[in-house]
Amino acid sequence: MSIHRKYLLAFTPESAKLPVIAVLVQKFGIIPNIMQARVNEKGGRLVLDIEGEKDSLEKAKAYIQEQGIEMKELDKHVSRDEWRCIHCGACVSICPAEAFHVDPATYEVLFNAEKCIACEACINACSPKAMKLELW
Amino acid sequence: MKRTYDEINEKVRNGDAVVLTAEEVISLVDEKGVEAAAEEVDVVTTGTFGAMCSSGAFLNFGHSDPPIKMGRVWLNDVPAYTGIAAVDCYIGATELIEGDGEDYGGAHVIEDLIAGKAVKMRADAEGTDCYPRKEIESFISLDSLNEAYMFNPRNAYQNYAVGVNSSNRTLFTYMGKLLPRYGNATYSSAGQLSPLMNDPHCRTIGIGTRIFLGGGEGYVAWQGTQYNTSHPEKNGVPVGNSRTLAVIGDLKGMSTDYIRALSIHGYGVSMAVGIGIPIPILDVDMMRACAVKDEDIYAPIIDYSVESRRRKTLAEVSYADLRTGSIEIFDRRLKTSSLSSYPKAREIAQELKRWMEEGEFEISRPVAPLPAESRVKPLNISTREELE
Repeated sequence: MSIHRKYLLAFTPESAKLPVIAVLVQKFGIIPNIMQARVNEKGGRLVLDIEGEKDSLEKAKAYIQEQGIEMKELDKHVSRDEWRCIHCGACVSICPAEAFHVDPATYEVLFNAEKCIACEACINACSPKAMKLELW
Repeated sequence: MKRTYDEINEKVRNGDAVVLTAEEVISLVDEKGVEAAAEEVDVVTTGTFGAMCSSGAFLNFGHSDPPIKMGRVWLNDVPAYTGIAAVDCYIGATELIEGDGEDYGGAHVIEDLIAGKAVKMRADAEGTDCYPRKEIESFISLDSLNEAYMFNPRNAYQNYAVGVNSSNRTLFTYMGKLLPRYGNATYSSAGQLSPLMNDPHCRTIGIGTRIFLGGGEGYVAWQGTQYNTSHPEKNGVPVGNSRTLAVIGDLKGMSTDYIRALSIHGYGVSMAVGIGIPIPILDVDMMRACAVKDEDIYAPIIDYSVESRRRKTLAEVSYADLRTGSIEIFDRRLKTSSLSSYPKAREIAQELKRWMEEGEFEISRPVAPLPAESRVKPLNISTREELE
């Protein structure tokens, strides 16, 4: 059964030169969807949604890590401090991934980390400072 | 149908007052009609929880030995105003920490004090014969202070604008993050639950009205600054930022559940203040006012990219529409964000209702009314001759 996972990959200037995506497709039969890609003199970052058999995903992850590329599952990139969140809704309209929505009954703001694409738009939109970037 | 403050309080004391929140009463009025609802309900509780910049607290430190008449004072490196008596100060919510950073300010000091944390106090002075000391540094806490009371010159705005941005860049405003080219819309009111929406002409809310403030008891002290009665009304409620309240209450009874520091990116620090006001149902008219719903309350949409105080209203939109998650203007669909917390507003109205049902909180008749008419003057740059 094929599964979906989202990862944030951080490249060094050296590892940014590797054809990682091509290898994922050819060698592991992974279907990648690039959600964000940024490269500069310090290296780069890639937000990837990958789809494949559980086994192949594990092998692909091992391959990526062997290349010295840091890898983090995306649902842990941004987190919410539940106590600091006041359920205002400032984050709801600025999230391009629609990871936040308001429960129509309670009006509480629900955060679906699985939808998060690590764009970080919510970080500075959150005035109670409930949305936090996980450092790595 | 007529009911007096005393009759209501008698019922509160006996534990038989019928109290509903401003939200609960809507369905009751829909179901039974306004007259029957007025017969049944004694008090309607309201609530709001949002950024209220014009807030702060008076603190008295007590006298050190030897004593000091503080010239300047800092709390966790946030300057407080001490141009009053020797060891009194006022810490304003929006004052920023010295140095860099918009992530800590007066509101955080207030939140830390309410949370029971120790706060570093530092002061200097010129030194006088009666107050010889020139410097002091100490930790203080809410318990170590003599008086500590919040005094907020402008809170609980009756309605407010909806922010949008027509420019090509993201704006960081006190109305939150406004995405370019009408990318979103932000609003900030508890609408049908908000205190001044339910008593739009302040018939029962006046000087001396006892209220829920920050989790404790407080009072309406005065009309708030920029108190404005001049906006046109729709369904009996003004469209736009109108009446305001100056409120006072003991910091020592408050809770960080209902007072929360905010860091508004690109703007600075503010404070979310929780306020709830009980509205006595003195007659059918009061019940009719309290039955107001989000469908009936309209807010003006304002383009915050216009760098002038004369920003025109682009359109008017109801809170019911805003709460659906999107609104339409100029044939575009804009996602909406509330900046004040509706769940917290609900919680406050419920908490106040519980206090009243348990006989812990009585309503109070205002000592004096708030102004029947008041306009807001702009600041025009003037010479002495023009004014004298």
